[in-house]
Amino acid sequence: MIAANPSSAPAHDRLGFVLGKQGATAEAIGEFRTAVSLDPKFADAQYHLGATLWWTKDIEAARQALEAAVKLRPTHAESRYYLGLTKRQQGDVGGAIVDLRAAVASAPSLAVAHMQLGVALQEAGDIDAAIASLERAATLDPSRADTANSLGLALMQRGDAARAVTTLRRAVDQHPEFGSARLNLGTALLQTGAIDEATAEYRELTRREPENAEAFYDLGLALKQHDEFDAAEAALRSALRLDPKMAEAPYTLGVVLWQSGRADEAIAMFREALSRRAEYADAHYMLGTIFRQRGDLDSALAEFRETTRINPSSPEAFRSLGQALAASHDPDGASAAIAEADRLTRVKADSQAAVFAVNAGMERLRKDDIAAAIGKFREAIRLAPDNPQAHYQLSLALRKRGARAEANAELETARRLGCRC
Amino acid sequence: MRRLTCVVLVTALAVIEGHGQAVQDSAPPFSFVNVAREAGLNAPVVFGGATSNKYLLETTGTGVAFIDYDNDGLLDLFFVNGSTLEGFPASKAPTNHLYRNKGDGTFEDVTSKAGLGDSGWGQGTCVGDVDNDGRDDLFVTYWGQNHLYRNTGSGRFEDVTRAAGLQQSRVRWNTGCAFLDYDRDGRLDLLVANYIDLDLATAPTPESGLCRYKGLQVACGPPGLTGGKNILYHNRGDGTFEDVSEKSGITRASGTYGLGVSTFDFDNDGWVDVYVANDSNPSAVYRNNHDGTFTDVGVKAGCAYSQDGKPQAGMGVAIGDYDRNGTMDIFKTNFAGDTSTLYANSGEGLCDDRTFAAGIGMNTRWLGWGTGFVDLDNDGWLDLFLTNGHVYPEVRQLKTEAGYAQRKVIYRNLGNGRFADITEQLGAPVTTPKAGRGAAFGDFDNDGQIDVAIANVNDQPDLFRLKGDSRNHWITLKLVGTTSNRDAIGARVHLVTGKAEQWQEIRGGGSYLSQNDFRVHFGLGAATRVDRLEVRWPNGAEQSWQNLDVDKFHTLTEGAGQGQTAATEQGHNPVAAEPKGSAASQEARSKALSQYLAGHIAEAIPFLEETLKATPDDSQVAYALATAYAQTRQPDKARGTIARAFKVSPDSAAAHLLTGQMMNRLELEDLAQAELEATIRIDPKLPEAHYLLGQIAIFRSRFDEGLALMREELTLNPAHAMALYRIGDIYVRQSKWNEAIDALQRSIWMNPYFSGPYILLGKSFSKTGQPGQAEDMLNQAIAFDPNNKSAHYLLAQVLQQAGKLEQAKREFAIAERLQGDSK
Repeated sequence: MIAANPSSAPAHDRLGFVLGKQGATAEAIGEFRTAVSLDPKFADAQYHLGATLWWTKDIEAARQALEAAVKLRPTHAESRYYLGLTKRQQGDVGGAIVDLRAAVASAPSLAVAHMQLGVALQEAGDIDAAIASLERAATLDPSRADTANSLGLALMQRGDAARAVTTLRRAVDQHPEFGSARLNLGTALLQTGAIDEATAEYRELTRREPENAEAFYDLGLALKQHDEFDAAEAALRSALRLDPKMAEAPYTLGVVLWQSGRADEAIAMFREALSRRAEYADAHYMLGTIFRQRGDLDSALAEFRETTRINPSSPEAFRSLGQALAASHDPDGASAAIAEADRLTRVKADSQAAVFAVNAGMERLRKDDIAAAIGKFREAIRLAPDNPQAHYQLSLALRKRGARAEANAELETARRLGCRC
Repeated sequence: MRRLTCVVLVTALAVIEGHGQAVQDSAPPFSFVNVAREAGLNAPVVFGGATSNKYLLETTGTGVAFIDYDNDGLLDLFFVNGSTLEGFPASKAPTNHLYRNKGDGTFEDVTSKAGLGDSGWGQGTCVGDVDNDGRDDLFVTYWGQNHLYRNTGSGRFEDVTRAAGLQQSRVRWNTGCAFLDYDRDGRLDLLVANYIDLDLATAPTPESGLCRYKGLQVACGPPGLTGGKNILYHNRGDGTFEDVSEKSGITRASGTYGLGVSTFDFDNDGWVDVYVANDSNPSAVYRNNHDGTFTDVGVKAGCAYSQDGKPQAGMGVAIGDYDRNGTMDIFKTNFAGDTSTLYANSGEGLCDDRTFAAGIGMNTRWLGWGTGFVDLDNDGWLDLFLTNGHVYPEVRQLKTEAGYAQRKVIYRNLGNGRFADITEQLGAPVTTPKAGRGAAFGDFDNDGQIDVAIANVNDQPDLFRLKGDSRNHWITLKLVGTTSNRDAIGARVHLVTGKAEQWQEIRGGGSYLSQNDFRVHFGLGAATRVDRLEVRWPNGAEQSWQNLDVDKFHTLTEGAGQGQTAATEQGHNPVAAEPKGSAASQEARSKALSQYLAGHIAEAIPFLEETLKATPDDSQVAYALATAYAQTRQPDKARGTIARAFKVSPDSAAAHLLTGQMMNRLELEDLAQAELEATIRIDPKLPEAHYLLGQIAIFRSRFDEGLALMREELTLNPAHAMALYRIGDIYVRQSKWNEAIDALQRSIWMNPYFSGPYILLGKSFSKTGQPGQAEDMLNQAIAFDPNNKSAHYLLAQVLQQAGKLEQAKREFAIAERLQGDSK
């Protein structure tokens, strides 16, 4: 056909399609490029080119072709789908969501598009919407284990661990080889406190994937929660051996060793963790704790200072720093550090109290007790001035009372603090 | 990626090595028996919703006090009771209970007679002779108005709260309390901890979704809620108290959310200090400044946080000199997922967190409440007893191994600064899961062993009678103040036997919301004499005694007995003491018991009969005689002897049941069967009879009969783990695997610490094509019972079928070795 009509864009596109199916991807791409160069408005060819480039991981080139395809045919679900994937991979999650929403609008039964939309929404922090999309995907195609896996993760993020367990267990039962799902199942089980079951899942995963460092790490954590310290140590040692970059494994092993009275070995592990990740605040903190216990105040101070530099919101780090300074006969430094520790503790406690106060205010608002509601919201703001919900709810209450100007001001403050209201 | 964080790893774990491990392997020389039902302590503690709680108010449970209110030398018991959100009609509200010790192993409920039948959200209790009239008074804390009950001496108490000036102007959540003489004026003052300023009208609820535990919606707090302020009342000496909380500095503490309270002398300066275990906040050490004020030095002294600087959810507190260096150490119980905390007192105003070094850090699963330092084996080293139970009844929905009802934890002091967890070796009732809260420690039967009274949530209380090692000696001291407060709270006792020294105190409060026996108990090991005893009285005066007899109770009065041997006093020994009697009767007793122990049963009977006639309360002889009758197939005589020992009618169902149990233990199945059948005829609803009869049926392969009997037992006691296990056993024998799995899983639900159901579950899962589950169950069985050859053998088979040949080979080898060892 091409021999007969070498300028036929559809012919080149068709050939590219056949070559692609035969696995001759590079040749297929060549044909698609020829097709679009012959006819840049050939939407199918642009889509085929973009999708094939995506599969070959040439993301930038894929994006260009797919954007062209979408411009030519905005309601083409598959083009939108692949464009969404491409944008997400490039970090443009907002853009990805737009395209994936368009894809599902055009093709409501395209399960994989719902699934990817859910994942993108999850990344963007809109968990409820993510769960809705993923549930839709699961309904459309219950056989996809990756959908169940993503849904399970989203449910865990929302704190619905029990449903996450059910969802992930289904994925694992359908696809026992799906390691990620089993790993996530273990996490969900731990969240529900089912330590034995979590351990069983991790054990199974390490049996199936003996090189899976993450599985050994999670197994170690579960065993540790079960007070099986010997087995926990063994699992964690496997994890750190299998993944030389994982900092958590040596850190966690260090904690286990410290709690077992093996401080020297613990120090070595915390140092190993720091060699893998220099800004590991917790590892610095544990080193500081051990050095202080040993009376090595200089080393302890260095570690605590590093901890507070990396993590300036840790009250215990400041408290420990203060105690070490006091022991080093630096009363002024100690006072300052302890004062900061106390301040951070108060901030945390006040923040929690503010959440309760907002909740109490909302109860009052529902019962039309405006004055009491305003009182609670103001209390919440006093406790935590940067709580966006407190300002937002106060604006609602003030509006009900008729204080529009003040209500607007509070709404403005809420939005400035990040309230999407 | 969502890598699991290490937040949970801050706590837990320590390895017990070497010497500790060796001790752990040998059986402990003591055990507990739960005698609460026989003793008549039957009124349940009602506290909040049984399956879910809307407010934290419903979770804290109540305390218990040992008090000798009638001064007969026998410890009586006072249990605080609670309420529910729904409330009760006036006549049906649960009340506190006072039980009078009758001296025969039983108690009489004298609540009404004593005028102590108040109701409300009771919390804790403490005891003290407020007016120094020689009669101990009672204080009960509430969410709401506390009450002070003055002991009038006629078996009654009078509510003097208002007259004493202890009315509170608003609802406060009062918790732990302790009487103490902080200003050394000879009169007992009162410290009351406060938890949360809880207003039910505004407190957030689980439905708000703001408060979750492992995904479950639970009661909110304490973080986020306003903390309460502790209270100190000064005793004016005229029957009234003055609230000196502000001016004493008690309200200026580093933390809040106070729960367990105990007095102690932290810095050994002779002035009483106080420890308050705070929840989610640094705990407090109120150091007495000697001028009517206190300073909270807890944070500065290192007694407030965990070893890595974090606040813990402190509940109960035990004080004791566990390392025998003359300073009072602190032990605090904490939340699940965290260890308890052991602070060794350096003697220089500092605490040294020894949790991990002492081997305490090996347990993180349990949620601890009442606790005490107690010498359980009388070896002279203080052991630790912990009562556990989860806060949230909602956790029953989770498949956690700890659950809502939890076992106790017993740590045995190894004498080298370390402890060993011997809980599993002790078995029931220690390993029986309960939702425990307050616990009080005292020798209720005056046998020289310290017993434990426990308040459970929405359940009957427990009374654990300690059956100790009779080879070790002991001494118990009652101190009577004269210029000091009469209870001698704040006194310090130093005891010397040979080269060994021990120190104890008389303390107000203690444990969780509870009050221990004021008498001071020392285990003495092999020492047969107390060489020297020194007392520093609360007002600072010091006295000493020498050459005190052991295995006795002594009363030491302030100002009397300086440098002399103390007056001795033989306490009542209603259950297990050596009887008095002539030398001749002692000789007959020895002969009778030697014959019996040597196996000359028939020859021993006449001597045992003669001895028992002379000393009818000698329970050891009674037991031996009953057993001898049983072994010589004289069931009526056996039953008669048992009935007399337990003070029941020989024709009663109880007598038949006890006899049946004895016959069963002696493997006299036909006699046991007859007794148990008689039990059921007389009282078909008496628990245990059907179970024991069912067991006999199973052993004789009468499985259908056994099944019916076990099911009948379960209608009387649905939580009977062993009945469920036996049902599972029958189904396994009948190859009814799914039915077996159901029954065995429910058995584990009731008692997760017995290896039997796990083994049978392993077999059942293996037979139903679930090798992964089978392997897990068998591993679990081996974890509980490493020397169980069946478990190893079955596991070997499962592994072999799964293709794990190396592991299978190892398990086969272990099974064979154990088989060889048992020959």
